[in-house]
Amino acid sequence: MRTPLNGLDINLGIDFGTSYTKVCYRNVGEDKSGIITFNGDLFVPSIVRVDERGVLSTPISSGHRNSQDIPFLKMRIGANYNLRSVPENPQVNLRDAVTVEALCSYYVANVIRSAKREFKRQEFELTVGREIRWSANVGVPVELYDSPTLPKFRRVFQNAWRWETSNSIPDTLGAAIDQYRNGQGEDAPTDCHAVPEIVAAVWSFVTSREAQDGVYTYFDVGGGTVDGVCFKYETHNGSRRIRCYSGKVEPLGISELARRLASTIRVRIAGRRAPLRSAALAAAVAVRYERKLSADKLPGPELSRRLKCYKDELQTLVARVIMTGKAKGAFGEIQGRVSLPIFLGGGGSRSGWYRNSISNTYFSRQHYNAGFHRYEMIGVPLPQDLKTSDVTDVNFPRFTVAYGLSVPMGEAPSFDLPGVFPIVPRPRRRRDVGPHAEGHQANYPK
Amino acid sequence: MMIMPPTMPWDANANGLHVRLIANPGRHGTTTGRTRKAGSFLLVEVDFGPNERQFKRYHLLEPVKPQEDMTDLLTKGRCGGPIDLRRILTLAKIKGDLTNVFYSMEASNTDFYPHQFKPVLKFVESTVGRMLIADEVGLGKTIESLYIWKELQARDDARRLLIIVPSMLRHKWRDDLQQRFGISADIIGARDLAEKIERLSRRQLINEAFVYITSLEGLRTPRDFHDETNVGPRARFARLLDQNTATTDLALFDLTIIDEAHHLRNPQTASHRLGRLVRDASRNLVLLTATPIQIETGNLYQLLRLVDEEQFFQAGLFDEMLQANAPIIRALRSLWRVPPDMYAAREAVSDALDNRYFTNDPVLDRVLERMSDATNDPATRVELGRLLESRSLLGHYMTRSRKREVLEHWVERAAQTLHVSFHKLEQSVYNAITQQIRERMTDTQGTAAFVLCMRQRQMASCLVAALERWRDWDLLYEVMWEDLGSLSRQEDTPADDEDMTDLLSDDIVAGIDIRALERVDSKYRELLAFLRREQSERPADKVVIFSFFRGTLTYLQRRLQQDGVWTAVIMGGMGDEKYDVLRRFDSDEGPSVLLSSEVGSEGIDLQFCRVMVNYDLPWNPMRVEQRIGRLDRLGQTAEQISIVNLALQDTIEDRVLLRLYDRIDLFGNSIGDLEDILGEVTERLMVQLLAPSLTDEQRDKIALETELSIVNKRKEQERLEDAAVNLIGFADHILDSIRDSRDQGKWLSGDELMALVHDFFAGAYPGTQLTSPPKSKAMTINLSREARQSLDYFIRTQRPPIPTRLHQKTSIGLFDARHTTELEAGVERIDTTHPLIQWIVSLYDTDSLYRVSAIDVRHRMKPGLYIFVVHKWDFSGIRARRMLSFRAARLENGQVLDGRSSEELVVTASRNGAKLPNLPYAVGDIDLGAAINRCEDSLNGEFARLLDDSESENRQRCNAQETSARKFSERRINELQDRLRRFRDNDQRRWIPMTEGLLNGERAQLEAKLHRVAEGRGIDESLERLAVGIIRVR
Repeated sequence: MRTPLNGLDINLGIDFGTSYTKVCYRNVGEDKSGIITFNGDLFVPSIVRVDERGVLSTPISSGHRNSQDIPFLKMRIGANYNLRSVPENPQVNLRDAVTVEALCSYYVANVIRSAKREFKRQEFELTVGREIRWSANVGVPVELYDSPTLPKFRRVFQNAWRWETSNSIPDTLGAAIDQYRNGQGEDAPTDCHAVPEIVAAVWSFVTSREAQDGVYTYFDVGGGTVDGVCFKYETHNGSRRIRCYSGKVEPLGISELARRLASTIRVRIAGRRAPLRSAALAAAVAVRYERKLSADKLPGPELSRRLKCYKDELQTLVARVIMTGKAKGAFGEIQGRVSLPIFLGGGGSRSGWYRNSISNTYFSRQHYNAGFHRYEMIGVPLPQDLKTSDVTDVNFPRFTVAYGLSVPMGEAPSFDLPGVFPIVPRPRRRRDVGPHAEGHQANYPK
Repeated sequence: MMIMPPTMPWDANANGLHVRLIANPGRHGTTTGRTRKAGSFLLVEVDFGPNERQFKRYHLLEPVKPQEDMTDLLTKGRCGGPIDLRRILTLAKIKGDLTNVFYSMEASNTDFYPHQFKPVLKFVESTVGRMLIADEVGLGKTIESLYIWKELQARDDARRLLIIVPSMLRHKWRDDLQQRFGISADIIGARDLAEKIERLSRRQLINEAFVYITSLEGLRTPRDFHDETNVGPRARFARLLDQNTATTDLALFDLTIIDEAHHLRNPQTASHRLGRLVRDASRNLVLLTATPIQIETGNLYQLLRLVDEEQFFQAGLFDEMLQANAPIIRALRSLWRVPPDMYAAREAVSDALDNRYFTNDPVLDRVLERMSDATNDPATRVELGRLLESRSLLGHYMTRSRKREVLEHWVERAAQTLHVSFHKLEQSVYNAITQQIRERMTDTQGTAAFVLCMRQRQMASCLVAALERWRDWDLLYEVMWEDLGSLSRQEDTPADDEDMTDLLSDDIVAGIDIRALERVDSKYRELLAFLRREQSERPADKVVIFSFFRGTLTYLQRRLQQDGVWTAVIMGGMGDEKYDVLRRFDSDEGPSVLLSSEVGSEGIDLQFCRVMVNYDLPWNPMRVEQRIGRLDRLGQTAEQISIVNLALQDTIEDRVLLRLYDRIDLFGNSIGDLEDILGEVTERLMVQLLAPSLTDEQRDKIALETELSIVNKRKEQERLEDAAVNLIGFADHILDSIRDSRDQGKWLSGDELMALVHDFFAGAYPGTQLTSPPKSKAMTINLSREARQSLDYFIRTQRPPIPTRLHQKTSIGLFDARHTTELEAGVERIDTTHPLIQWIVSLYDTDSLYRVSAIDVRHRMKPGLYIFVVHKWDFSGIRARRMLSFRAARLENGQVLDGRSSEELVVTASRNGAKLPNLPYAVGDIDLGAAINRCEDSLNGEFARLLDDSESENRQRCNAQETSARKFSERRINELQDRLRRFRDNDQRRWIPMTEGLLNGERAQLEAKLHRVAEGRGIDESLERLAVGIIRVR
């Protein structure tokens, strides 16, 4: 029984992103969350560095010269993505699952350690003289959570937690791999949990006291991916539940958009025309043109074509999420038209291009024929229990997942993932059976 | 100190255990018996209220024990935050039973003026529930009476308001209610009102709610109203009032407001009879008049008699009362002198005690006792002042504010006269007609003489318009109406049999070339030149041109339009249309000139204009004052208003009126309310001046004599007024105390109500959506399904007086009355009387509030830690007196702050503070219990003092109420017995049983009242500790 004196329960919500990692905390006893900054930075690149001697570091720990970056850590665990563009590393065998997982554990352990340190610094007065009971949730893409890859993630996070809490984070790649292998058999539960990212994002909405029962969709537009889910939120006798009928994640985030467009855009930089290298800038340029100009006035036919292709892929993802949810009975038997609020979160949610592309799926995929009203696009509201500042107000869309993850495991609403909902077979209709069949026949005497 | 863990383990699987979060103890609920594990943590499901269950970590919860001591909780570190304290303070306020809180403050969209709350303050303190508000014109009596209504709604759940006004003011009242307070009122006639009241009295519908406006003329009580054969609506209404005098259980009206109440002051009139009946049938009564003390104090006596017939039952005694009251006022003056003269104050109180009105008066005895050991402590002086004020013989019954006393900034009146010479054609026509009128005046008197006078005046207003209009027979009455005003219409309309044919013939105008006169119209030319100058110098300024003559207004409109000046016109009888015209005129793109008669502009506010033109001069200076009063009123932002008079040389207006008006400084200063004196004198002068036998010198002499007479009367009136005001009391310290209440937040603001709604839904009914833009006072409210069901049930069972649709659909709630004029369809004005607030209050029970808090706040007080205690005190006798009392002590040195500073600190912390993050770290080893005891000791001392005060006050009140009840009953019984005798003498046996029933009812009522007084003789005091906590000031 835990009854330490003067204690403080803090749960960390770690949004382990493809490119960047973001962390929120929650003071569980008072139901208050906040954003953790790292030396003033809101994001930590999701990168492990390894030098020629095999010594590991991260962007938030002291690094070594001549070390090489190993990016896209999370994607390597799942290995479900197209990794053609992911650089290989001559020193590290990144095709070895244990190596990748050990590197991920190393990275997450460092994030946890830094987050604890930063939290104590940020909330000095709250923490002074108090024993902190820590716990953490780390995000996992929903498709991987609902797949055999989940145990790998759990193992990675539990190892990271043990390393950090026992103050035994390895220094080198070799030590990390050894420690990871040795820890594989330890199945004792830890207080570091894997949580589907999109479910966490949904938590950020339903944790608000203002959430009402209903069916919603949520799209998290991140740097690397766009994650979508169609879910039903319901309360029964005061207990809350989230049923995710469909979920889909695709590498259609802002960075990916930028990468695809970069080669087609040339802008004048420092007085000379040069291919645009900055992916983020490219995305910004592309998105801005789309917003200001109609498609045929885009600066180049190739850019226009690629943008259209990209939009098509994005709208396919949106349509799949919505229509799969419908096929699985999320909306029940639709009588007349139903409303479908669409929440947009993630760093890309402020982009007009993404917003319009998602919203226009209604027309491009003729969803009016599926019994829907025009989609109602909603930004995720700033939670009332989030400690606000100028930084949080502006950046909250990027922290929706981390904020949701800060709600401790067990307190957040229960959830069902898409795997448990089969497609509901459409009722076969005889031509003479239907709501008007009888009347119809009655109008025609034999 | 350190946060203590739960003293002993508890059963996580228990069902129905009352638990709370240790770190946020305001959040509590009952366990459901369900548990789950997450990692190494055990979680317990807690039911937090309607449709809200959550799993919480076991070790973060603890069982709630019954009757926990707040000091223990604070020392154990079980502290809530500002939201918990805010809930307690707002709820204590919102329940509407605190004596020292204004529930009506900011209930309207008008600016704050302290004097407008003086009647509210007195009304709340009053034992009779009836009051005469006699403020000078333009100080906002309408608003004051409606503040009283809002106060009664908040405090006593008042539901039925009847407003009786001269008929021409009905629409103004309705518009004021809607625009200033967001109150929808219905204008109702005598017949409909009688029917509604009959249904109400028959079915005893105590929940029925309405706001009705009705005309005084339409309700005037006929002398024979007892006679049931008189089935007219006025008689029926009067009988209903007579048969349903207000009882402790039911009153037909919770409040009746009678505007222009001076029309009721003659006891022989039908209006006065109505006033008496309405008074007895209403739980509360407010009379409004600007002219209470005209000519003699007898008028004031009659009005006060209407307020309380038992107290003011004999005219002779009234003067005695005024004299008896003088020492009380003297004592108050000495008390408020800077520095206070306590010796003189004691002397004055001793003098008062010598008078038979105050012999053995327990309150004055108590005041004298406290004055003996009083220091210069401001709080003590405030309390002594309040007690003395409560013994003022007139102070309870009337309040009067005068501009010179209550307004800090005066608008300067800059007057100029533009003298216009007649064209020779105009001069000849004017002289010829004047001669004819004088000749006809020889044998004419009464109304006919008035008609002739009017013709003279119309010529001076506008020769062309007058000549055009005289051709139209039917317009004469209308002209009189416009000129003489509403009451003249009622009382001075010519009798039907009066033959005025001769006077109205149009032979006077035969043969005059009106078009030629129009071409040379010298007065119009001067006006046009003035307007052009004005527009070139200050193009944005709006100009109001007044004329008493409708024909002049129509003529000016036609001519000005032809000359490219965009005008708007307001005249009497336009109804609601005039408000549309006014709105257009008010807009930047609207007309630049408003043409108005003073009757047309009655009740409208033109304070956005700073230039007015008197195109003609009324012969009654009060009419001029009313014109100026439209601009020179509360809200005028210009430092100076410009008054321009157009005067035709060698007319009576020029030679007599202008000189007279200059002499009494009519254009420079407000002359106060001297309508009866000035109106009468100037009208008599008019007739005299038209006598054909007089030479011009004689006319000048008469005019001069009149001037002197007016000046003398004015002086006499001022002396009388000053003397009366001295006897009634004076306002300075009351206004200070109102300002103080406002500064200290002793009122309910829209922000507090918004916070209440937010705070409530932060702990109940999840799924409710509240959205409001930053700094907005509007909130979109979408209640959850469960909340809608609960509110719906509340509405069906409690039938709140204000309608709402929040239980049916999403609506916008407006929490700030200052935006009431912007109320659109679907937007609901939310104040304490709104069903949403009433429902929320009904759901809070005292056990659900957490009373210990630790708050961090920035404040101008010295940085450091302060402990605080809040009490709610209740002294209930014949009347309840309830208040919140605050004490804070600085932990560093143990210094206890006074009540005022303590309250300010605690209220600020509740509104602007954040939760103190780590109490043990902040407090260290300081003994909090000792600091709390210091606060408690200080509060207990004050409580004991106030209890003694309240006991003496209550004794006095009970005596007064018993006497009043007996006298009232005696009067009613005598009346009914007289009636019975009459019925028996006249063998009208039909009415005898009913009258006997009324007689028995009256006796039973007396018994009930005496029983209530007897029960109220003992003070039932209670002291409730509402909250304790700690505040860190940064």
